[in-house]
Amino acid sequence: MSFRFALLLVIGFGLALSRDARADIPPPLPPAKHAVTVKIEVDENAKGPKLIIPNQVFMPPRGRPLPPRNAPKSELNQQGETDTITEDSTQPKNSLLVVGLALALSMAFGGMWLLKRNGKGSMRSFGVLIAVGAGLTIGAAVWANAPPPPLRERPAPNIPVSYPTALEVKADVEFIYGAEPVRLILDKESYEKLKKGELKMPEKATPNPAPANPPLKPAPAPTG
Amino acid sequence: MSTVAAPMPVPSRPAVPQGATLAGAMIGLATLATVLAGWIPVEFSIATVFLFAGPHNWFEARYILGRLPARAGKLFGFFALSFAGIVGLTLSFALLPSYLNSAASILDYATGYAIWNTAFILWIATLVQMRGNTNPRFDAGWVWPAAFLIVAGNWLQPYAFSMAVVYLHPCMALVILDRELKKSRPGWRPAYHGLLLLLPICIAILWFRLHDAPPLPGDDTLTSAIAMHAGDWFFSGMSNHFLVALHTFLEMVHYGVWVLVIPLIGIRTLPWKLHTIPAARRSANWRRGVALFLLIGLSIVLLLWTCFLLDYGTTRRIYFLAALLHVLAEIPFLLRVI
Amino acid sequence: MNNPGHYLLLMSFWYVVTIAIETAILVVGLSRRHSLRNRLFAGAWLTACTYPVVWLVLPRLISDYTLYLTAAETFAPVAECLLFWLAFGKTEPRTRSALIRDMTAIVIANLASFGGGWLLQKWIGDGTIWWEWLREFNTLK
Repeated sequence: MSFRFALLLVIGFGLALSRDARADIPPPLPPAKHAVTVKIEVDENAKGPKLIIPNQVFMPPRGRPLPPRNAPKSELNQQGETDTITEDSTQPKNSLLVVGLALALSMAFGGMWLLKRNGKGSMRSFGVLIAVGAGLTIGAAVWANAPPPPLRERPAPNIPVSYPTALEVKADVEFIYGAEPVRLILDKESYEKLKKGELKMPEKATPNPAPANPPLKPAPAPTG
Repeated sequence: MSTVAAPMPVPSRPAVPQGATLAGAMIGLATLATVLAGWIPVEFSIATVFLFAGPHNWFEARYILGRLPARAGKLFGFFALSFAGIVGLTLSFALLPSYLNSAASILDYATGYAIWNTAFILWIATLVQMRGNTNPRFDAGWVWPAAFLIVAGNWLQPYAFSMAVVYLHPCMALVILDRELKKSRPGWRPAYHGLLLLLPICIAILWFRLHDAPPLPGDDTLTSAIAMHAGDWFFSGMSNHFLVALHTFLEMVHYGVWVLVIPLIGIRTLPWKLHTIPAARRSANWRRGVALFLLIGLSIVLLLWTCFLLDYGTTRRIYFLAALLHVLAEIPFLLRVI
Repeated sequence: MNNPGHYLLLMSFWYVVTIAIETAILVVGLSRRHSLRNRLFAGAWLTACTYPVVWLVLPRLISDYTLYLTAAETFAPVAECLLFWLAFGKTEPRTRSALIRDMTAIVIANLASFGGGWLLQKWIGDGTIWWEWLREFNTLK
């Protein structure tokens, strides 16, 4: 029995294999991005083509952009301030409509229950009502004003950046559900430039920059 | 005068504190789970799911059968709604991604999951209400304000609700264990409640060690799937090493409770002895039906192990879709034992 | 101003202003059959039930400002009267005059909070500015 158990354990630990699998709750697709810098580089020693997409291209902006280091914690915002949370694809459409209905029903049922339980309009009922309201207010305040947690510096990927560039353009990046191929669609002008075959030598290699904040400008709504 | 000598006094053994076995088992489980989950989270996740996913479902089914009444009686409505919810919600959850990806879909992903979560919340609320209606000592009036408040929060962040379910579900076994101890080993409960403090300590250890750890190595699809299951796409400011370790730790505690602790305490007999199952005592046909059900369950466990060996990733994906069924089944059962 | 958290915070602020006005009127205006505790509770609770609809649901459904105001100021007192009747309608002595007085007090409280809020908005700035915030936020969703 113990041998079989040990064998199962060994098999279990040995199962660190690359297999196709999918998440149980599929994450939302990131919104499309416009005017992303795309470089086509040439590595004469490469064994095959490689497509590298930095995660910050597709990381959806969550929460407010990080304030400058010396700025005080933000107060209630006035109009004119842009915010990236508008385009948060983790929120359903018409969410506030349902939130409003749900809150109204919650308050109605809650009040009726408190009254029934504690006798008509007891101070305890009143206290519970105030406590719930205060909790919701504090929650809203925290959500409104809390900056996102500081982004952890991820170790730089081990990709050298010094290959000659065959083409550098601005492109729209679109994310779709589906299988390969990954497609890079060139317009005629870009294709003509590429056909010329001119290679631009790389600049002197610079250390990888720290992760940037999410862009301040809200990304346009996803298409499709 | 009696000539019988007085018996020699027997040296008394030191009294074993109540619940010492349980304490030892839980401390060992929590410690092992913390160490392995923190050190090799992905490999530990693969191993635990492979070894315990199927068996824990079987033991759970066996335990629930042992606690269900022989006849539904006045609880027919409760059981009927439970069954309808379990099957309906599982099927709809399985089909939701296909619908949302299809051209006919009129919903975006967030709305689709918000609607499913809302149905889930309202199903639970209705079951709680029904439980309150059949038990005069159980005041269920709070359930509707609480449910609608949670619905409101769900529509603000549906994925947050889903992640909460992923992380809270493993804790349900601990509540069920507490109820079982109350019924069968009430003297062990204080020790058990003290032991529960171990869990936040273990979680704190994992947090302090790993909250800013570099991302898990490996960009293969299985590692990505495990990390996604732990919610690294949602908690993007947190180390996915910590998330996977935490999720794996909680899953291991969950599996350990169902596979080891509850059977030892709650079944109290060999699992295939059917006389402790009320439904099996109804008639010979019912006995055969229960036996067949358990045998089929056992076959599924063996099939699951085989499929894991053949294609771990696909089996894992299918298992966790179907496993929602057992997660949902725990809810009405928990409501019955509270 | 398109952060849900900010919006809910603003809603919380105006909720406090509203119940301050309405509770004062209800404490004085409700019939004698209701205790002070009942009146205080009603002041906070009734508005808590209707405020989410007025702030979160109706702006999403109605684009015209005047129509929205009409709908909101019709819905709020009607819903609050109904809730009050469900919660406190059976308080003795149950007389017709007491019921009418209670309903009237609730309507007056709502109108007073609307008027008070409008004046306060005028004092703070352009009275319709908050409406623009509401619409701007809701149209983005």
